[in-house]
Amino acid sequence: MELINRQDLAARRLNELQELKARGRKLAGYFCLYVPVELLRAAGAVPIRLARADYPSSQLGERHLRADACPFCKSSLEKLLSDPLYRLMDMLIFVNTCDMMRRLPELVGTRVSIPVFQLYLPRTAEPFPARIAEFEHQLRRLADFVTRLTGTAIDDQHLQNEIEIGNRLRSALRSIEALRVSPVPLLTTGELFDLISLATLLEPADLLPLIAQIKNRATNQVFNRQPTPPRLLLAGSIIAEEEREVISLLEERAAIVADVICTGARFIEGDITTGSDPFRALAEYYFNRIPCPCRRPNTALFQHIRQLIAERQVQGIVFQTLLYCDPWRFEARDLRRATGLPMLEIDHDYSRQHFEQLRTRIEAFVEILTGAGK
Amino acid sequence: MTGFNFGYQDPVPARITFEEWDDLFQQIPDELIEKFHYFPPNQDAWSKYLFPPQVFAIYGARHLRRLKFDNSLAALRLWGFVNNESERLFRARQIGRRVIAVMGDLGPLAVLVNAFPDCVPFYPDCWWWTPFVMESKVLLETAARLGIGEATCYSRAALGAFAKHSYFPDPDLIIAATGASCDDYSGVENLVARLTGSCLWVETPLRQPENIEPLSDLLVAEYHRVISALEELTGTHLTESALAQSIAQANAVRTMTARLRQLAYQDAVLPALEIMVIEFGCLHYYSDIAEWTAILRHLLATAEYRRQTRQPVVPPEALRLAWLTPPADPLLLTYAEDQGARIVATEYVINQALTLIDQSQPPLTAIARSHIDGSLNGTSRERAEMLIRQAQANRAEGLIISGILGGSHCAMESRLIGSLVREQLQIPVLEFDVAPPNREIDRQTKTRIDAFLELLRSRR
Ligand code: SF4
Ligand code: SF4
Repeated sequence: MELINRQDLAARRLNELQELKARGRKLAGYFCLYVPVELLRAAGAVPIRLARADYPSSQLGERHLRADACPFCKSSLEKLLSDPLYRLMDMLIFVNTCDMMRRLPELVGTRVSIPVFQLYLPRTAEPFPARIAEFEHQLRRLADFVTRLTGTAIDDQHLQNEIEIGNRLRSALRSIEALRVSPVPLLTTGELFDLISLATLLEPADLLPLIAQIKNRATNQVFNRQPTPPRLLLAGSIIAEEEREVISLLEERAAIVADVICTGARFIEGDITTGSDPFRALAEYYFNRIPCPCRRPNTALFQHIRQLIAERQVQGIVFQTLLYCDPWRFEARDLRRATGLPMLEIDHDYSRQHFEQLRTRIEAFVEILTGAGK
Repeated sequence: MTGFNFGYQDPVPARITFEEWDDLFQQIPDELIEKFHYFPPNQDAWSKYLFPPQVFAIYGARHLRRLKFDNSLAALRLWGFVNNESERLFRARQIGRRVIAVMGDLGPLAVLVNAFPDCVPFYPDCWWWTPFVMESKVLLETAARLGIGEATCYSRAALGAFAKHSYFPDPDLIIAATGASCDDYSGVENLVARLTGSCLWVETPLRQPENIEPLSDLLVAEYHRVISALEELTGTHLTESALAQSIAQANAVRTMTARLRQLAYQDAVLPALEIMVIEFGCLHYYSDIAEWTAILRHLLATAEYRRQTRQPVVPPEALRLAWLTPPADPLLLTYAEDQGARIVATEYVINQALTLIDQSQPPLTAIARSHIDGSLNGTSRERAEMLIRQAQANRAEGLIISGILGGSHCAMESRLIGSLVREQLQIPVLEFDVAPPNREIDRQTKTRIDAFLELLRSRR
């Protein structure tokens, strides 16, 4: 029996969203973890992360974009035309994280008529006051945009409440994330990713009891798992909800005890300060998230990785990048050097063509780590 | 008549080869060759730069053998000066100037650096060190070893150049802007920062038309950090008048560049290659704004004279092309002109540095505003519209988009720009990715350009 039935929950949620929409609620689609969902909720919108990229839609996306655009962007554009969940959106929020994401909203605007907001996040990561001030200003602009569409003004108290709920949710997810670290993992990374993707789809009020329930079942060892050496850290481009082959292949042979994926553990890191000006608190939290590799400098990302490696006794790194994802690709060599650990590099485009080859490479990598390949 | 030309009489305007320049060079009087020096008013023998292209080919710029050049004295000056930049930077260091690498913002940082005495700004990705001109893969191979391999913009050669330590001196300060620049270049900057161990990062925001004031405040705050770093480095306090003077100099360069483009595109009095080199000069003035300004004046006088005397250098009746890059491959421009086309509108990614800085505003705000108004900070649609306006004014008959496989912005915007041009101008568009730098243009690209020009001819 599965620990989490994500597909089922997602299907039910789709129906629910259709009903909500029919009752006049506005759905806000977003792509990136720098979007402050608390603010969207406080403005009466239902935030949904759109991260269901897959190969067929990415291929179809080449009708609008060159083949050398990143598969996630190609797929996202296509899904806005064809995926039932994406088509429900009343507004879309983009962040200018990488060059592809910076330019995607413009293309989206030529294909669909959903109102689009581009949140400008400084690409430099040092928290100088003028940068944070501008980001806070951007959040206020975002608030205006959402409010215009939902008709709900944001009041500080409501925003504070949403911040507290967001903190509770992240904290609950962090406590469950810790279960994958033990020598006999009580939770797999595949399951963790399922939960995190549900956290971007369901209401926190529905998710929090579910997390508690899963935690309870997981810690009671319902699944009686075996120790699965070796211990890996997973890094690289966004892993889409429907494209988890790398994770499942790895987990056949090893334990992923840490990750720095934006649809994974990076989504649940840290808490937003409460009790102060909520816009300022949101700006500081989101500006200072562990930087994406496209921010400059991205030293904090490397420090975070090194810390995870030390704390979780990581033995090897699996570095997976989407084809043409420059922000991650350019870091491969330095990451290998900075950590000194064996690293398996996987470049993919969601296609399953090389599935068997990938399995062989992963097996060989795991053998090297366990010493069996010597 | 030849007052602007130091008493020298230019031959009838023509694009000439490398060998032909050698012959022509023999006819230039010695006193004239002695006359031009970089870092004016210095007149020391080491600072002469008026040499024929062959001299620079010997030093490694072997591509020069395959290009064609304008045959005026002003153009010879241009080529000598541009090709000599590497030497000039090493000399700068020898004579005690500070060499400052400015990266990624296409213009404003050089204006700030120039406001400091004895500081020389340079662009490490300036095309004279790129593989297009060096005919060698060494820089690309070095970049690959450092983490940036194929399917990326050729600007990665800049990373190779930093690692090699032989194309320019190790800078006293590296200032790297990121934000509106592309991922390829931002990645190059990031690895340069790691390689060299130090870098001052500067944010360059996206343009949001309804949010200009806050964005320009952000930029001003960024510029204050740059100024503090330069003050610390030089031990000088920046005065408002020094900054105002630097702005005035930059504006003079930008104004002359704009006029030269107009003369070339409308009256065909300068070839496309020279114009591209002139445009690049707005980024950092080839590390010597005083002499660069003098050269632009000379070029402008030559071009105006040709216009008045109706002496075009390329046939005005040639097929009129608009060209959108990156990358700007000199061989391709040369080839297009050889095949009976001429360039009448361009967007080389460097139009950014053509926007004038409003001298009536507080200096830093004015620099910030002009930067935000630049072509690269906005949307692809705005970039397309800028090109469309030029193309329309100069009656372009076709558009060439030469891109890079894996160049992050090419992937996202080439098609959009192509379709906007097609829609609004109803002209054919040819889109291709340039092959990696090589001795020759690859056959496929040649065939595609030939067929495209044939199509344009048939539409006349
Ligand atoms: S960071 Fe990489 S995967 Fe994500 S949108 Fe940008 S290019 Fe695509
Ligand atoms: S040419 Fe384009 S891809 Fe290359 S560095 Fe410039 S902006 Fe980036």
